[in-house]
Amino acid sequence: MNWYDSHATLIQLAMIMALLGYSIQLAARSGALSLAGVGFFGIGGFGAGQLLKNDWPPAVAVVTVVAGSAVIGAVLSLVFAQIRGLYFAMGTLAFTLFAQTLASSWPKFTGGESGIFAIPLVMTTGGLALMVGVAAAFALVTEFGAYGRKLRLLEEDEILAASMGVRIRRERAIALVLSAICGAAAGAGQSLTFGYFSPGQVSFALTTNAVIVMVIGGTRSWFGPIVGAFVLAFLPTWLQATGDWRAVVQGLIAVAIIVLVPGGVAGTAVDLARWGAQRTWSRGQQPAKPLKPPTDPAAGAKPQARLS
Amino acid sequence: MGQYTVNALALGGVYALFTLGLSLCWGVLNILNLAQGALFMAGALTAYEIANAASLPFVGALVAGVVASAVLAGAFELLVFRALRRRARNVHEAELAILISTIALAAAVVAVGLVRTGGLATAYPEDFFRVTPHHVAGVVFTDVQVLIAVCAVLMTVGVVMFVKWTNTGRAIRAVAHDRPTAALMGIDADRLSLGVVSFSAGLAGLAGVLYGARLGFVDAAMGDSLLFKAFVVIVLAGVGSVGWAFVGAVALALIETFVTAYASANVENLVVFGIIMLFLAVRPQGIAGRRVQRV
Repeated sequence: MNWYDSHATLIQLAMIMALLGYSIQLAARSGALSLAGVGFFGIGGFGAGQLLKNDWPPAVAVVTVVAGSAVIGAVLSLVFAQIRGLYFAMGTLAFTLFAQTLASSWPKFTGGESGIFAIPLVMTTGGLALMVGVAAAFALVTEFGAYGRKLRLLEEDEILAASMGVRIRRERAIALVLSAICGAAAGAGQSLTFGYFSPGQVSFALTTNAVIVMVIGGTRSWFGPIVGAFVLAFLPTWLQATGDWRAVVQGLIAVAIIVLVPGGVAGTAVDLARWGAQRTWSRGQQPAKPLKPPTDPAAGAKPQARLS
Repeated sequence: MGQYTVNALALGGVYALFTLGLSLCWGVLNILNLAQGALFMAGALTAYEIANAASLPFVGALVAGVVASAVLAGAFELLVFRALRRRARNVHEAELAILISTIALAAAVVAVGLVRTGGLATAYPEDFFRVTPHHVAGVVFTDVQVLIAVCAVLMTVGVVMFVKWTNTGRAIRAVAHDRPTAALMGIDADRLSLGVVSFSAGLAGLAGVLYGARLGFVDAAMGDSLLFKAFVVIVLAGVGSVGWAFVGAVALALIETFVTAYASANVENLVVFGIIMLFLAVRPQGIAGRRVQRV
């Protein structure tokens, strides 16, 4: 038995997590934290499962739920048009929490606590890889060029971006639609790969894991979610020694990365590589340091020197 | 009818205590603490551990739960939030980094809860809290329900008076309005942050112990559903508005109880979600909230 066969399930799960990671990351690149991905994961999972059980062709079913989710995402973005920052994060999380309660209280569609079974197993590792590939390719293409600069400006300083002509509301709507598409694709992948989908899978814990994928991968590089998802999937194997406390250690590792490695593991690796390239290219020249305002407005917590 | 109202008031008290902390942190410090649900559970879990380890009276376990949650959140502030706030280039970046960190912190705390309870709803010891039902005018209520209502009212009134009339309260309002300028005025914003974060978590712990005593058990995921309720209340009331948060919490509990009783839980969920979406679309600052768009 080769390595792939013995890890097939783990690899499939990692690719589903990568899609959920993209559902947060593609939106986060424009400075909007969208936690709606897991809500759409539920829509995609139950939707694709039900369509397959009604003998729809698999490809049509997946495209239908993804397109439907994109429409719901667009409608949601109209509702959220006025809000930003923490409100936007909270609104999208509220959507996910609502989807969660709906999943467990709508047994006709979701099969109640036990979920829906016997969904045809039409998804292959190749199919999952194709979906992850499309998301990654999209992230790669939009990371560079004029659009990439626009996104970075938006993440850096919204007001400046607006004054330079970036249409913030439109960008935020696009972010939410992308979040919806990736979330729904992950849900469809989950239910068609494993043949069942239950309300318990649409959980706050899954949102946490998707966030951890983004934390590990960072928001700055197109392959971040893939790295993050595979690290998260294989972390349990590496942390076997911690036994029962594995999940606790996992959470603490995520916190440590947030505090100590702000760009995420993948993002920091890319930064280091770029920095190294710059060093060899212009030997002796220090990379420019960003200008720091005299008082850091966000941190201005230090008591100022008092005259005494 | 009367019975539903009594139950709703006790439930509203739990919502109010929980939301009060969340709203304070958000309104004063721009911290959306998604670990509030985990801190809520941590309070209930500590009370459970204490009740099992030593036969402390209920009040002792209650205090232990509150202190445990407050200390835990104090550690969050000192070790995590402060570093993120210092590093961020602007307020927006700090907000999002701290929000993400609270999700990871919540995961760690809930994981501890899962280990200790084995992932099941775990009952408190028999003699933890003797529930005495009282019959007044055709309705039944218990000591815990009374205690919840009293705590919620006292805490709300206390916080409103504290923020309005004390010097520290004025400092809190100054920091909420403009943190850098408040720091220039000699306000120790770091110390104040620690205080507000710990106090908010203490409220979550208090709500957790009381809710645990009301249900009779502790469950690692008990905080998740409250997070959604608290969002609804905050969206209704507006961020940082303490008095309206109390009104909103009680109103939400009444709506829930009566819609569930006379229609169904599905209708209740739809109604609640509809309210939150309507407010976010039309009046995102809530009934009494401050402006959302800060420039």
